[in-house]
Amino acid sequence: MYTGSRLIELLELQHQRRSQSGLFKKDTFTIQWRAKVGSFPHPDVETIVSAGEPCGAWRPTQGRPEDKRNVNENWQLFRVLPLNGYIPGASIRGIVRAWAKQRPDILPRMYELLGYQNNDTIRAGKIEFLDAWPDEPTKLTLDIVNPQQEFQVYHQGQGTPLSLYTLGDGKDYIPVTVAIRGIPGRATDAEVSEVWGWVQQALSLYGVGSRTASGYGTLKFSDPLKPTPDPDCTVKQFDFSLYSQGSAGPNMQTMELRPSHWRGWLRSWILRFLLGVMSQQDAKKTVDELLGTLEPQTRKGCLRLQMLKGKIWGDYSTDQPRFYAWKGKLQISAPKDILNTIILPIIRFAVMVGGVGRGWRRPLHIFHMNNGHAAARGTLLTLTHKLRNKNTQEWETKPYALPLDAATWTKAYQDWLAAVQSQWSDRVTADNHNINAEVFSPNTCAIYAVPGPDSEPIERREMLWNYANDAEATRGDGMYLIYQKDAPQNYKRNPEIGGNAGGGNASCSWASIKRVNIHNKEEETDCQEIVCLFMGGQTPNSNHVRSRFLRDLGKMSGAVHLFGVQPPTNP
Amino acid sequence: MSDFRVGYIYSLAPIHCGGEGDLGNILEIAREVHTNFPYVPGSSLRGTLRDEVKLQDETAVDILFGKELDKQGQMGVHQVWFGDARLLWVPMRTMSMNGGRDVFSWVSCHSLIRDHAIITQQSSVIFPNQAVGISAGTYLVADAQIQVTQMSNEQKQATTLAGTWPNSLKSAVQPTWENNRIVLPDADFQVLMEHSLWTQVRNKIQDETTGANQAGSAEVFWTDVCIPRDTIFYFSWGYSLLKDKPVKPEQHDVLMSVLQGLFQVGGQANVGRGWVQGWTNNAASPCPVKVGV
Repeated sequence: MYTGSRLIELLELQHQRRSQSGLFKKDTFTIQWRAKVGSFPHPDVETIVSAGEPCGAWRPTQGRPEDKRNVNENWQLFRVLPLNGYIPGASIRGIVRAWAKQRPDILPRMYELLGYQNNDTIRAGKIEFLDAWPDEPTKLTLDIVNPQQEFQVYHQGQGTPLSLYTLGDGKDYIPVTVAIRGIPGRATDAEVSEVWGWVQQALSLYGVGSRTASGYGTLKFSDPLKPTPDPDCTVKQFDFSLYSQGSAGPNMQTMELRPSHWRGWLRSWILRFLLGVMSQQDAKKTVDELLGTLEPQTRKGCLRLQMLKGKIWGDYSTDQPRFYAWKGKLQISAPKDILNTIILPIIRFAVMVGGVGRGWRRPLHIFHMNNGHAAARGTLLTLTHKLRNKNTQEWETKPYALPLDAATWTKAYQDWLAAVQSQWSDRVTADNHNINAEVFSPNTCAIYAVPGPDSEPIERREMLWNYANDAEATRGDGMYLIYQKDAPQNYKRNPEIGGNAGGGNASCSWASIKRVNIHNKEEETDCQEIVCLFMGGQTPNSNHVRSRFLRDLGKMSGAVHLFGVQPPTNP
Repeated sequence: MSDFRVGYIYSLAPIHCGGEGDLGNILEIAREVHTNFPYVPGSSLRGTLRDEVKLQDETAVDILFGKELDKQGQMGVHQVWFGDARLLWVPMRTMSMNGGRDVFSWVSCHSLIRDHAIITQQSSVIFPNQAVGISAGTYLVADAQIQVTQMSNEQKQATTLAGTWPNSLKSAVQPTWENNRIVLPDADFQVLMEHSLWTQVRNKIQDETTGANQAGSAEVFWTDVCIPRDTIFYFSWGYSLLKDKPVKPEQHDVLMSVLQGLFQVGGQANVGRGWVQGWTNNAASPCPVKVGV
């Protein structure tokens, strides 16, 4: 028996019978991905669980509910919890209040209609928010929290993935009925309509629940509605296309692309850049101000990210080894200056030197494992945006990228640095920031464009490999170099340069390689690879393996230096 | 009291009638002194019905509930009265049966069934000191295994509700209720009422950074306790008509349209708590002839 949405159905009818229809508003909003909203106290006192109502038993065969299980065990035993999820009215009311507090022209009206507390004075509102239940009973499903900043940027040990339960499984859209009502005798029809407009705006703009800045809780309203950004904020929308070895969520074998992949990508790249111009402490503080943090002291950030799925979502190649495709929209919002002068330039660099999600440091290519089996590895990420043509005034789709010339890269970085200096003048220092971490700056990394492969290894439209039987044909000279495993190079599976994804002691590579479909005139290849090497505390002329890798890059035929350090001219 | 009736309410949202919480940041609810069971005080029920009737008919409300205290210190006499709304059937959603399928069942206990039987003038039945239900079997709830034996026809009769279910619940709820009920001994039911109520963790987010409190952190958090959705309560109510200006049929009809509709009881109405569907076993107009004051 499921009576979740019964109240709203009956209450609407009662308002109609009593000629009070104007005091009642309801509509369907659709959860686009997952929502973590409200809280249900999980017996283990640790796992975060979205609001839910019990709808079944915890079975003894699944272990005791109060046991602490890792994500993998939860995947085996508690992929769904016996809880029907819903969105508490309190969460909807809270988000509407938070939305109104950003709008000085609405704020006094919000206090008048929704009530307020001022020390000991409590003034009641006129509008009531009802719990929003999915149209069909929907159990909460397992999700994962897996911060990788320490691992990916500082090359320190991997974090422990934690379980989380959300309304939404990441695949299905979930329609929920949201409703408000004006208190008869106190609220007018016009006031209810006014608040309903706020509900539509707030839910469409922010979504609902926690982690909304990371893409959780994104809601789509049934009517086409373009929400107005917060004052002084702006939104940048990209169309993305990602061909990839596959990213995963709570289960390593189930491929999915998540907003959290984008969030981690954005956070880590912002940190890499800031580490190049600030102390570690200030860089962390600045990242926390931009993106928020939980520990040691929780604070919200000012950057928000939402991912909208496109028609091609998790499709996989028709031949082996299997690769996947995701296409959709990525929306990033932030205060205008921060977004335009600090965040977007970082994104332009990031998309030029790597991809997103699992395998982001390698171009999509074929790799042979120790047992001889072929596997797809790496990613192919493209971002495009719409620009208005100054002559025709028509909107045109353009790649979001940098041309392969050093002057443009240097200028883009200098402009970014000037913006950071202007924003945080007291934090920017000219110190040597070449620490044992991935630091993006002219003194701590090196970027080269190198030739190859000869032509695009995949047929994008058909989702096929062009050279399924020739793994090396899928790689350029950068990949060829980093796969050198014998002395003197020893690059492959070397934690100090190539990284090692397998085994329990995984380590990241210190070089990211991205394929671009730009012709290399010298070597006559259709494609090139952009190799970004992080020195991680090493200098170009040392004997360290990364310094040797830099020297190999520098002397590679057809290689073009784009940015950062270079090997000494007379080693 | 010659006009004595029975009413029911069915919760379509969790109900929070505030009580005296003394467990840190747990917001407790009102409980009966003699049983410690949560309940909806008659004053809450009466207050909400009064407000709703007032919206429909400002004259009828004073006739039915008595005039409110005015500036001259005068107040009227009520002609309709309401008792506390007590639990009758509480949903248990965490049960499985015979170790297998999940079952949604309502549970009650001996004393509640007995008290309800008394006010509905049904013959009382002695229940055994073990669980009985519509479907016999082994039920599992958390660590507890409950052996439920089949209710006898007499016991089943003693658990019936007076009157007929409202149309709004007839198809959505009534068939499930008819097939899924368990009567527990009082002591077992008391444990459930102590530990198995509806809870929700809530927090208020810090708006702006003030001192050590950063914007976006939890300024304050607490746990709300509520009586769950899908709970069935019973209450006694009736008329005590005055000789002068007794309740007229049209005024009674206004009350019936409210009492047999949806109304809201308890606190936290602004976040959707407290909505119930009401109905009564006797919706007939009170008969002045039989009234004695």
